[in-house]
Amino acid sequence: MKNKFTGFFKNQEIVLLLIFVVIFVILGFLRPQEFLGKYNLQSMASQFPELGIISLGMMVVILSGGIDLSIVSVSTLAGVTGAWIMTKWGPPVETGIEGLDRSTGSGALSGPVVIIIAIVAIFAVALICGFINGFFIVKVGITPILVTLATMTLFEGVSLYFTKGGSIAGLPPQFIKIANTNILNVPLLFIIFIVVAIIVGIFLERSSWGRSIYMLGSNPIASLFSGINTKRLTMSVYLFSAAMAAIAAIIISARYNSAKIGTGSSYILQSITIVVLGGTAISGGYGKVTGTVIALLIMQVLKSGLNIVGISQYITDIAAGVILIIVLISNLYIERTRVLKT
Amino acid sequence: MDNKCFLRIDNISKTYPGVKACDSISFEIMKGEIHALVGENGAGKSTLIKILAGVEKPDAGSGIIIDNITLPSFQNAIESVKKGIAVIFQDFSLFPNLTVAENISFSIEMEEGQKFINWRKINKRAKSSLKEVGITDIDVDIPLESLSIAKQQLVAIARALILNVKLIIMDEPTSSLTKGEVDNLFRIINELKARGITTLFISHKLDEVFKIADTITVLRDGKLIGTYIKNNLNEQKLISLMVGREIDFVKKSGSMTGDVLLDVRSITKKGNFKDISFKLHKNEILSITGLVGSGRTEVAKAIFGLNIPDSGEIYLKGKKVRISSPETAMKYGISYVPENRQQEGLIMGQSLRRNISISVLRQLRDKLGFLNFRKEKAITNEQIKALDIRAYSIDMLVKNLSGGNQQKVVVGKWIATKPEILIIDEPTNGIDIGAKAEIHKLLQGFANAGMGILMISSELPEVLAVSDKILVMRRGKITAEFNINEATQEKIMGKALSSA
Amino acid sequence: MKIRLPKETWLLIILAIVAVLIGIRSSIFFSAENLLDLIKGSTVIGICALGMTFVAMTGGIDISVSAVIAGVASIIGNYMFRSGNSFFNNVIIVFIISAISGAVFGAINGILIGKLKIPSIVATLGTLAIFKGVLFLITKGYWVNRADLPEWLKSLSLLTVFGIPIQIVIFFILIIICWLIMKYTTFGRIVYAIGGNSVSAIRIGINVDRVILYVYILMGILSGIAAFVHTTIMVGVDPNSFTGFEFKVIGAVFIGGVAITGGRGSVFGAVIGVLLLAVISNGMIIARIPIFWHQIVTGTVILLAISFDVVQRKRFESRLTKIDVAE
Repeated sequence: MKNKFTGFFKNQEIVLLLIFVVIFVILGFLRPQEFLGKYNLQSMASQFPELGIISLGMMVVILSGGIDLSIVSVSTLAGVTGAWIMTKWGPPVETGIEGLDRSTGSGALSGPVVIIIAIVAIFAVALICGFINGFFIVKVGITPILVTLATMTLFEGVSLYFTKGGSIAGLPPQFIKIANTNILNVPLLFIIFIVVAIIVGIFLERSSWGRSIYMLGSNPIASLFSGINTKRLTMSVYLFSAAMAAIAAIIISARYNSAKIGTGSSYILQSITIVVLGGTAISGGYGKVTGTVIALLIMQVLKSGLNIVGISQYITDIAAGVILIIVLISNLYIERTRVLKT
Repeated sequence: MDNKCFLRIDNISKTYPGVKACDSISFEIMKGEIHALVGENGAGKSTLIKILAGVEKPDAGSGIIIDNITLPSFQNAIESVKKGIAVIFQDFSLFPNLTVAENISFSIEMEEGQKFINWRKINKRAKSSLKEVGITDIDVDIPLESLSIAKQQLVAIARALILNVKLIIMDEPTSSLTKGEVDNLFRIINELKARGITTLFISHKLDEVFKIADTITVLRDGKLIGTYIKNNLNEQKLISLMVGREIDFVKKSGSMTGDVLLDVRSITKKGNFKDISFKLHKNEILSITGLVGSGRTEVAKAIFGLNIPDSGEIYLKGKKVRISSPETAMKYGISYVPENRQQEGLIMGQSLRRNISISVLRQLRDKLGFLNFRKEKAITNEQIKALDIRAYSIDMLVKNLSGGNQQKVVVGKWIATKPEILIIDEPTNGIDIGAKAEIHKLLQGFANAGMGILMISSELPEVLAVSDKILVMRRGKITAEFNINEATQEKIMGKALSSA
Repeated sequence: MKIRLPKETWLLIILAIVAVLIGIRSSIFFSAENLLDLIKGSTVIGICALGMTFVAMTGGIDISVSAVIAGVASIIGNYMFRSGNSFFNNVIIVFIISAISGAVFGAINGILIGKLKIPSIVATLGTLAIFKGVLFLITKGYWVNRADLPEWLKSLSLLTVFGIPIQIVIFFILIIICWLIMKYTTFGRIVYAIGGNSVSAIRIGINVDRVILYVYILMGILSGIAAFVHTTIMVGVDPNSFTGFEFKVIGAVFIGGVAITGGRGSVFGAVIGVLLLAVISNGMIIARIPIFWHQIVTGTVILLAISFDVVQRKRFESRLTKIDVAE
């Protein structure tokens, strides 16, 4: 019995979609050639997958009632590890960086082989990080905010150790192709994102794992009392966000042909804003992937659009913060009027 | 109302959705007396106290007459304090991280509008306040949480004294005290009496009531049974006043019970329960009753994997098992409907169907591993029909259901797992009489169909109506076991209360 | 059996042990110059940690502190630059501007968290972005150079009182003030009370919302003063230099013994926490441990310290008896 108007959240997605369309149209109207041009569309479409995947990871964690401030650091560390492997044992490649004509690749392994090894390593490293997070949250019992705040710096520190502050560059050409390929004029990265989003959406809606996460976020005690293994579930959530971080790492290092600390440092805040804007309750238990995706599109379109119109980039950061707070305040008020009504 | 009366409770009623906690209660509390308020769980005592504390407002038509003025209620806690009433709830409402002296002096400092803390003054004030109750050995400069519960209670009393209290109300003051500490407390109450301060306290410990009270007021099912002078009563009479009633439910007339499902042997957990042994059979409803705080829920949780015992053994159908989590308990066919429906039993913000399906998610999976919504719907509707849950849509949020229906949802969730053992804790707490009977019928139906039911309840009529066997617990141990034929309310109450 | 010493004493012991270990490894450590440098270097974090202690005591957190400090630093930097040789370009006015601008930032946080009841983690995450954004918009990332700053600032940065750098003196004064507030004012005790049992606090009639507002304003003022102190150390303003700052402050405060739920901890604990981290950092530098290890070590130390605290707390709570079991 699908009642179309049950709950506020169904409506929120429609509202978000409207906002997106409005902004899109306005920008298209103001600068039709630049904004609607193929170059811009393609560029936008390849920019947001990494942020989108991180947002999806963040969304699942927030749904479960937690938060993962370390997700970007995990991604960076994983990316750095992968890049390190590829430049150490992969084919020598021109880096295009000042002072380092060719990467130090020993050429011991061929391109495709080293790529596979690197990807495995990326996932392995990310999952270890996720496990560390999960361990301190589940086994030791520290609240997620503090754990991930600590691990955020810890993981970045490890990355620092590998990169020594610089960047590891010169990745095998086959790897970089991931970022440059278009399938039927649509960037491969975009497709990857859509596929991941669909998979995550399906899992949240239709698997017992996803359903349990919603219940856990809504009421962890009752969930435990209902026979859900909350410890295992919580660990799985942090492993999941680590996996998302790994995918993001692959995308980012392919796009920038390098790995370094600092890329995506603003992504944490942006992803939380996107998740909350998309209708996910910060305390957990409610939220839909479609909402997150639309919120992502809104942010992207705002960013690109503002860029084209010539407004400073820093406004985006301000906008993200302002939007986050406005959404939170309005959510609280809506929640309060809803409670009063029942 | 004569001069010796401090406060008159006039026709106070309080209705909550579905239940009338207080029903036209009227009695007087005299100046300088020690007045005990007794009654079973749910008799209305706590609600009355909350009303006197200004924390709850009674229904219209109620009155509190104090200083010859009739008030419909106290607007808030501060007003009640201003009238000279200090209530010490069971949690003491103190600040564990502040010092003893601060806890005592805080309110008065704030009332006086002090901006700065003069520690010497505060400590002195606190010391003298404690001295008034004859306590000289508590160091006032240490954090409150480092004191024993008994001493914390004395601090709460000292705080009340500093606010110029005329009536001290205490809710179960001796529940966590040793005998020596109880004697000390009574000495203090007598000293208060000598100073003209009235004490009203709720207690289940009848021997203590008889030791210290002057007057005893008995409540039952929200109504006043009477106010008596201690010397006109004895423990026997008091118990029958507390429980004597028409039994609304037909007493169970014993039935055939089957094999042993659950065999609990001597389980013990420090600070929870000691040496608990019993057997639960198929087709049987076994009740554990006793006062709040006697350890019943702790035992129930232990069997469900939430409160693992330190020692002892549990056998399920003859096999020794170790129940380490609710997930494990579920696998063994054990279900638990918790006491706290809204926090532990249901996920209030989620829908009816999601709450019912939460424990059987694995069974709802189709070949690909995804949840089969149609199956979910079917199971939900099945429970709705079997339990007669009244809801207008399976997608509605459970928080919008009535108490009785909410309880049915929790039951439905577990029945969907096809359990062999159902543990149900206070099954009809806060539910109206009609729904109560329905739930009883359901339980009996389950038992007849082969389930073993372990029921925890404080409501004696319910226990007598539904059980085959009754265990009474007091202070963490089982004090009696009754077959339904030999059980009476008085006998049970006698074993539940603190009597010899 | 375990000796029941206050947490601060344990910390002091650990601090002493670590210091001695480092001192043994390298005698430079205990030189007056090194020690003074060490403490001077930790004053900025330290002052913020004082404010953060109040915040954490109410059970909250303030992630925006790095943006607030950067913001105030930019404000005063620009002010000093713009007002050139005017009379109004003096230490008192600049100090007051620091405090007031910090208070404004803090008030914004306080309103969001106290009045509007937004959870502090998200609220300050948001204000972090907003403040940072506004900051960059105005400064466009530019430094304010040494050359553009007034002479009195340059002299101030080198000022010492009985050989102790002025920054340490300021820090010390602030520690005393905060300690006094915590221990000797009703406000301070109310902050404690709210952290210990917020329900009882409301029952007694404490206006919890307003107190929380004041707490964040206090945090803002202290952050502003920290920005001032930072400027006297660096004699220059680089808005970019504060990344990762909030973590050090929070880490120090939690090492220092403030519980996550609030209500426990002290100003001294936070200060010891700050010093402990500074000593570890300094020790690593002296021991020639490559700088890349520093973050790893610091992060691990903080994680372990919090774990220790949480585990202890849990053990304490489980020992509280619930049922009075008969013998």
